[in-house]
Amino acid sequence: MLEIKNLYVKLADEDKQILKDFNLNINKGEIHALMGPNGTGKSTLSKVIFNNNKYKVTKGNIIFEGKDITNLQTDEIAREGIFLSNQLPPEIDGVTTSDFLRTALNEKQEVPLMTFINKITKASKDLSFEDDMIHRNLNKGFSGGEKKKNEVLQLKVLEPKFIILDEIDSGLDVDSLKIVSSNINDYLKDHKDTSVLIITHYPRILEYIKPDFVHVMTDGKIKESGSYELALKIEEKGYEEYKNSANKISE
Amino acid sequence: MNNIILDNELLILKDNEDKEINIKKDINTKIILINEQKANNKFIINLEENSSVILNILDASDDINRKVIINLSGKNSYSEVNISSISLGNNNYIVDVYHNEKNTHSETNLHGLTIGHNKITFKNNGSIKKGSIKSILNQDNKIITLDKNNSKIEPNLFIDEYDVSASHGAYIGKFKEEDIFYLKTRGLNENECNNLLINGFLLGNFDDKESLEKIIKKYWR
Repeated sequence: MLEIKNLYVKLADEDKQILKDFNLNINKGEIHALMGPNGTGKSTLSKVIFNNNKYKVTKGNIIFEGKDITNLQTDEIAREGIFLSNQLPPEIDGVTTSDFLRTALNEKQEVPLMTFINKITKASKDLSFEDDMIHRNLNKGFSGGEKKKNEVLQLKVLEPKFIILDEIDSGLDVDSLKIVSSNINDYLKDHKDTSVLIITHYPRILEYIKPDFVHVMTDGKIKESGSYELALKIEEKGYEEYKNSANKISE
Repeated sequence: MNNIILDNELLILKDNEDKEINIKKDINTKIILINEQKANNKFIINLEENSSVILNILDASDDINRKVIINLSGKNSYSEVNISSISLGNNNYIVDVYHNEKNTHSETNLHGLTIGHNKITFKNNGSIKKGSIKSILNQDNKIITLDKNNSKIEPNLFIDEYDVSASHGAYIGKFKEEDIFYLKTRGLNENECNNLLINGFLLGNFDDKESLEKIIKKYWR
């Protein structure tokens, strides 16, 4: 479904390499976790997939459902069916979640108003949102947990085929983490072909959303790939052994 | 100058004549002006005890010189001034808010949008006189420049009392790149992002958004 081939990425306005020969292949319905210490390029990858203009791809390709999306515009990539749950969702004055989502949904396909209202009301209820949250300014004055729930609400309304969860667990207390995870798991039960890339520093979220594959990334490339057991090993031993190590595949 | 004693909940202004408006004790009111003409005028609003005013002005014009003076002269009086301006030339605003009594509260939100080489100047002055304890004064001044920046903001606070709360912010520039990127990651194209952000920026504090959106579209599209 998503194939990243020999990807080299640098900052657009300075000569600093961020990703080096990065490779990843995610099939339909698979859940992958990308783990690594801070500053290793994990979040950059999510922005590069969306062609953020702060980064420049110098070599390699990103293929989604057989189509090269490396040079598509950000909004075109989103309309292909890829969703990015942001690590730090911005607060936007004067734009309500409801207005913004309606515009986004209509961009994909014209949706009758009542269908939209039913959909957003159900998603809001599932996430234990207060009634007026969707009519408040986007993320304005929201707690860290509410911002993350709002990302999942958008996901449920827009119904993407591929989901990137960038540090979805940061800023979440245990109760909110359970609500967010169960909503994502419910979504995946109803959308069996949807694939997920979980970007995370800590393995905690993986206890709630079980990955099929775990990858460890340092210095801009994947150093080891394996099963969920690899996440448990990281929890125990940390990332020290991956610094300057060659690539390897776990048993 | 027209002198108006206000005891209604709503006043819709139809012209740009100078006006002095007196808001009586315990009256809560809203004043609205939507203007697409050149203007050179002064509004003075005097508030008595426990009264409040929300003044919403939307200007879309090429030549405006507007002065707004708010006198919070009664205890517990409250003012909210929301001015949104689309400059098609040179628009200048001076807002003076005077806290003359205890427990007075003002919120002043000046938002401007310039296209091309056009210009806006906001001079936002907030004064808290000695003895006006427990007063709150907040200013929010922003100008979004879609092209060249020739605009200016002067936020001034004149505080002569210790036991008060006052804040001001000023920003001139484009919409934040991370906000536009975020909206685009949901499938909105550049034009739709700007529409949403402009409407939100100019009308965030207004109630009757639908009719006002039409005015914005006329100049932005």
